Amino acid sequence: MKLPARGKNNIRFPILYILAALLLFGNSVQPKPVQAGHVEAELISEISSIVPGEPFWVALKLRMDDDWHINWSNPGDFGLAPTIAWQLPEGFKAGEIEWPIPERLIFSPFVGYGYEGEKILPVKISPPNSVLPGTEIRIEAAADWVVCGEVCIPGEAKLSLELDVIKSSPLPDKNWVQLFENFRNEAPQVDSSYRVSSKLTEKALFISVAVNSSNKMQIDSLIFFPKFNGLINNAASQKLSKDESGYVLEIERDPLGVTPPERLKGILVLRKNNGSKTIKTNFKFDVLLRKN
Amino acid sequence: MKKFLGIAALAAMLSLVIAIFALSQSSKEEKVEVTVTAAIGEPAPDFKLSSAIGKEHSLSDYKGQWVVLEWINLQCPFVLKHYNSKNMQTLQQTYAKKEVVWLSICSSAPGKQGNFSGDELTAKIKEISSNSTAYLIDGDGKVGLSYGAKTTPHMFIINPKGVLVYAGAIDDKPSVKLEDVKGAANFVSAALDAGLAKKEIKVSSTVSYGCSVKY
Repeated sequence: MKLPARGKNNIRFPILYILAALLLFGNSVQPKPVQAGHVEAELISEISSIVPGEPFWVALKLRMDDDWHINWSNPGDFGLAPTIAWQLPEGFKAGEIEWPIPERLIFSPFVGYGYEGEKILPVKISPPNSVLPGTEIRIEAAADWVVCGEVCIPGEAKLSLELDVIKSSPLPDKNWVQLFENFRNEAPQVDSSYRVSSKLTEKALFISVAVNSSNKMQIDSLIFFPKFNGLINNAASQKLSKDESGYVLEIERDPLGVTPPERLKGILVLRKNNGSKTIKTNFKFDVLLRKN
Repeated sequence: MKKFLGIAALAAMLSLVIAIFALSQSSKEEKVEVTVTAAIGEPAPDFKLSSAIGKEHSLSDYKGQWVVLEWINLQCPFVLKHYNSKNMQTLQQTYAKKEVVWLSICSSAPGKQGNFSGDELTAKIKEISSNSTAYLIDGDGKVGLSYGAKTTPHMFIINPKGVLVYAGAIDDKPSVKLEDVKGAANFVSAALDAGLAKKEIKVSSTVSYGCSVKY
C-alpha cells in the first residue's frame, strides 16, 4: 500500500510557521528565568489564564546557588529582604509578598533569617472586572535583592509574564501549581490550639506556649522568628523548658536593642511528637508583650 | 586519709575542668553569642587601635568631644552606597566643622572581605575621599565585638562625657540603592544635632542594616 505523496508546500509551510513563531515569540513572550549573580529569578503564575475580577497568585521564584541565601522580611543580623516593584495593567492591584517560613542561617557570631535553595515569594494580584476576555495582559516585576553567603552581593532582574484573559474557569499552570500548593501547606497560619503569651524582663524575652487539651503532643523543639528586628539577640540560643501549662522559650534580649514594641509578633516553628512520629509545624501569633 | 582527700579533690577538679571543656566545646557549635559590653547611657568601652597610617588612637584621647564610630568594610555594597553617594563623606565633613571626631573602624579579620593594609589600604581610603578623623584597624575584632557591631555600616555616638548615646543604623532606608540616600531620615545627624544643641536625643537605638562585620 502506497502512502499519498506529500507536496513540497505541505512540508515547507509548517517550517515557516515554526520559524515565524520563533521570531515572534521566541524571545519576547516566553518568560525565561534571569540569571543574576548567584540567583536565578523568574516570575511565575499559578494559573495560565485569568478571569476578570478574580484574584490570582503569581510569585517571584528564586533559586540560589549553594551556600548563598536571600533574606526573610526580617533579615536578622545582616542582609536585606528582597523587594518587588510591580508594573501592572490599569486597574490591577498587587498585594504584599507572602513570606514563606524562614530558616535560621548561622554565620557565627551572627544569625540571619532567610532562604537557601529554591523558594517562591507569592503575591496576590487582583484584576479589575473591566478586563476583557479574549485579550492578553502583561505583568512586569522589577525584583531587587541582596544575596549573601560569606559576603553580600546586590542583584536585580526585570521580569515579565503574559496571561490570557478568559470568561471563566481558569486553568492551573501545571508547571507551577505544585509550588503554590506546597507554599500554602507550609505557610504560617493562626492556630488557636496554641495559646501564646509573652513577657519581657531586663535581660530576656519569654514566650509561653500553652497547649490545648485537644492537642496533647510533646513539643521537641520550638524556634521563634520575630517579625521585627531589635528585640532579641538573634544569635542567642533559644532555651526551651516545660512548665505546668505548657512550654516556655527563653531568649536573651539584644543588649543594644530598640524600644520594645507594644505587641510581640512572629512565627513559632515547632517539632512535635505524638508518640510515634515527629511532625514539623508552625503558626503565627500577635500578642501583648508584658513588661516587668 | 589526707592524701586520699587530696587525690579525690584533684580528681573532682579535673573532672570539673573536663566537664567545662566539653561544655565549651559543645556550645561552640551551637552558641554564637557576642560579648557586648557597650550599653546605651553607659560609659563607652575604651579602646586603643592603630590607624591606616600607623598612628594610635584611644577613645579616651577624645574625652570632652563628641565621637562617632562608623563600622566600615570598603567592599560591602551597603557601605559603598553611602560612599558612592557622598553621603558618608558629607556627614564626616559637616561634623568635622563642629569638632566632632569621626573614627571609621574596620573589624574585618585578615583574609576576609574588607581587610586591607599598607599601600592598598592607603589607596582605598584615597579612592573614597574619606573625611573621617582616622581609619582604624581592628583586625582581631575585639573592639567591634565589645561594641556589638553587627553590620557595616553600624554607627555609634559617644558624648563628651564618654557615654554611649546612640547605636544603630545610619538612616531609616535599609537598601543598597544610592537614590535611597535622598529622602532618608539620617539618625546620626539627628542625634548629633540634638546633642550639639544640648537637647535630648530622641532616638538612641535603631536596628542597623548592612553586611555582617567580617570577624
